[in-house]
Amino acid sequence: MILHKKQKKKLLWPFLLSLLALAYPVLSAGAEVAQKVSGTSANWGYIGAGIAVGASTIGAGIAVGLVGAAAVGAISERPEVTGRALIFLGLAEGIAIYGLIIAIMILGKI
Amino acid sequence: MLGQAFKYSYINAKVRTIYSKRLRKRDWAILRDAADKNSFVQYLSTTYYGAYLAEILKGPEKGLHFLERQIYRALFADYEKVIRALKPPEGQVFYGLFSRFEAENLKTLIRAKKTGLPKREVLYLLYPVETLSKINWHRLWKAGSLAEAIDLLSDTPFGTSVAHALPQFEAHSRLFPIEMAMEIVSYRQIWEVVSALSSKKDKQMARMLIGGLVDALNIYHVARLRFIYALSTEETLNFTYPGGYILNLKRLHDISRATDMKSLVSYLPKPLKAILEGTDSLSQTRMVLQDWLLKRIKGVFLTLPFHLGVEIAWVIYREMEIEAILRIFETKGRKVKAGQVRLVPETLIQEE
Repeated sequence: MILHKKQKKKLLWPFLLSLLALAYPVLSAGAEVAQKVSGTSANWGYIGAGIAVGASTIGAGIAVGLVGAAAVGAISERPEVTGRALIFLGLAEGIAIYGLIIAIMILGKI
Repeated sequence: MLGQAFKYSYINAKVRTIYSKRLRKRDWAILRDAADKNSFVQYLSTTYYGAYLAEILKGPEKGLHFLERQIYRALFADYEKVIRALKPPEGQVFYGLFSRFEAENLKTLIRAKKTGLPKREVLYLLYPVETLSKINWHRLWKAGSLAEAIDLLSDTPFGTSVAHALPQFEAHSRLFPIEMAMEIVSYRQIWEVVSALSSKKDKQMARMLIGGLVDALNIYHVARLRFIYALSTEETLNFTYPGGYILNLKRLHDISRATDMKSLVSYLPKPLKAILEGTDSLSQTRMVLQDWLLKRIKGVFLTLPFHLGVEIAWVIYREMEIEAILRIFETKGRKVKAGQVRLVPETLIQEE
């Protein structure tokens, strides 16, 4: 399951495009925020988005810490499980994305 | 819970990965059916133990003790991995378990000193403990007499107990009390560390597994002392190991009174009585008890993952696996037919 250079290159573009797609609403929302909402409700929205991203990142950090440690333990004894271990690391990392999505949704409403 | 997960995620994953490389049903069948010692070692070298068998594969010597010295390195490597990954007091539990092998080496050393044999003459009987041991073996082997060697032990955990057993040795010229003192010290050391564990779950698992091991050892040991060496009830009780899980002091006193295997079994509490009913020989008793313990060990790998039990279970499992390998190896070159004697506990062979 170790990715070769060519495979990595192939995966790079879809990854960058999806990032851009995710970031677009945030960027566009940022520009429109001033027009749409003003006052305390917008401030709460920003705080909510911040909490969503912060908490999910902490969660992902804990998960990656645990999964990563276990992965290192398993890989040190059986290097052939590296690919599978990376998948689990990816799943742990995914927790941060959920928070980011919620934050984007909040910011989109402001 | 999160703290436990952080503490054990690395080492438990490591241990579970090593556990996945244990010998399977097919391996046991091939080892059992190996025509001779050569083919036995050749096949063993294709398993996890291969990394530790380089010397025996190169040289002409294929003796039991030579293999024993090589193969036990796998167990001590596991001890090293676990101890390196765990801080005290958890890591100390494994030092305690490891000290049982130091005690065995000390027993050999003391016997050698008593009979005036140099180290090279008994080297084949020694466990390869050097990498982990904190005892200065070089100094001990250089000691000119038994008394001097015992003196040198004073700065080790074995010192005080061995010194206490010395007058008994001098009075009767029997090494047995000193040897037993060493073994008992190892177990005391374990229980001291286990009681210092901060996590309730760790403590419970350590008590269940190591206590189970002590129970099994005590039953076998009492049977041996009573029925083979014909020791008195008091002496037998004195030489039992501390810290059983099911057998408390009263039970130990009861079984120490047994006159034969049947009466010993009748004194045991229900779960042990049920599994030992019908056993009459010592070897059979030992196998049944190992099976009982192995079932507990395998159960540990199926429970919640973050506790010390996984590591304890593994080192005991590995120890029993090695014992079974050596038992099969011993039969090679002898006229023991496959299936004639039970050499491997059933639970080691069973696939989950």
